[in-house]
Amino acid sequence: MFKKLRLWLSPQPSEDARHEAHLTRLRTAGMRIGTGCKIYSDFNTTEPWLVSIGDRVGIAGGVKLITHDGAAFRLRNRRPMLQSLGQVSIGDDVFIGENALLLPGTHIGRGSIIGPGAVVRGRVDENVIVFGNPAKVMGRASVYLERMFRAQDALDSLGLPENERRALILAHFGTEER
Amino acid sequence: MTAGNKLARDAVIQALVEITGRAADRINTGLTVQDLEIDSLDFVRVVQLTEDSAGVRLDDALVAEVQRMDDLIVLVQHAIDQIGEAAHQVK
Repeated sequence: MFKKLRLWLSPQPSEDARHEAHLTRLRTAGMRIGTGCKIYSDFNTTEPWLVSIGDRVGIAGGVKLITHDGAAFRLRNRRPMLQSLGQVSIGDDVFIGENALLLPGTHIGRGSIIGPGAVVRGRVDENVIVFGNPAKVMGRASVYLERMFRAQDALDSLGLPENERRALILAHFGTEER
Repeated sequence: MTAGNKLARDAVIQALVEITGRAADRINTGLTVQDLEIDSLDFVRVVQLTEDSAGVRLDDALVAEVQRMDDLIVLVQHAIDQIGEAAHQVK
């Protein structure tokens, strides 16, 4: 009871501090992670030291980085310790959307965008946007971003106090406050 | 209509046929991107297909300003003309 109360009364770490602690955990596990990254996935990767992430990379929640082929299981009656492994590398300024899956041997070029739910394998060029399963190149990431920058439904709402943010967004979509 | 204009128009319409699934004669390039119900990802795809088909590379910032498909045709035609002028100067 007192333990719970003490925990509740103790100052909570800021979101930035929690995020930094998360990055530290991933780095301690062996991932190479550059600077300025925002990573919202846990990555239960069994070989984290095979993962390298560049600078200013954004990774949404639920993203999986797979560094081994589990089908090796089928060969363990003949080679009990067999593993088939592959590195995953993510270049600078890449963004990876929610629940994307990167398979062993995936290398994502600088500045590319991986769409939510994409299943990616092999080499992804620089500055492309890919979507789907299997992931397919749709076009240049820079075109997508320039278009978003000018889009009428893009708002400067991030970081506003929550009530202001909500009011701004609801007003933009012409929706009444409830 | 110049050869460059025809090539540009054909490239854009061909890309729109592929993305929207509409027949070429049902596509009005005077319509806006919104009227054609092309979302941001489809737009990127239209640009890529158009560039590949016309053999040009468009400026990202100019492409981002496109409202109607006719705007895109003008950009493609301009890029084709520039290639033609450069080839002429080399000669």
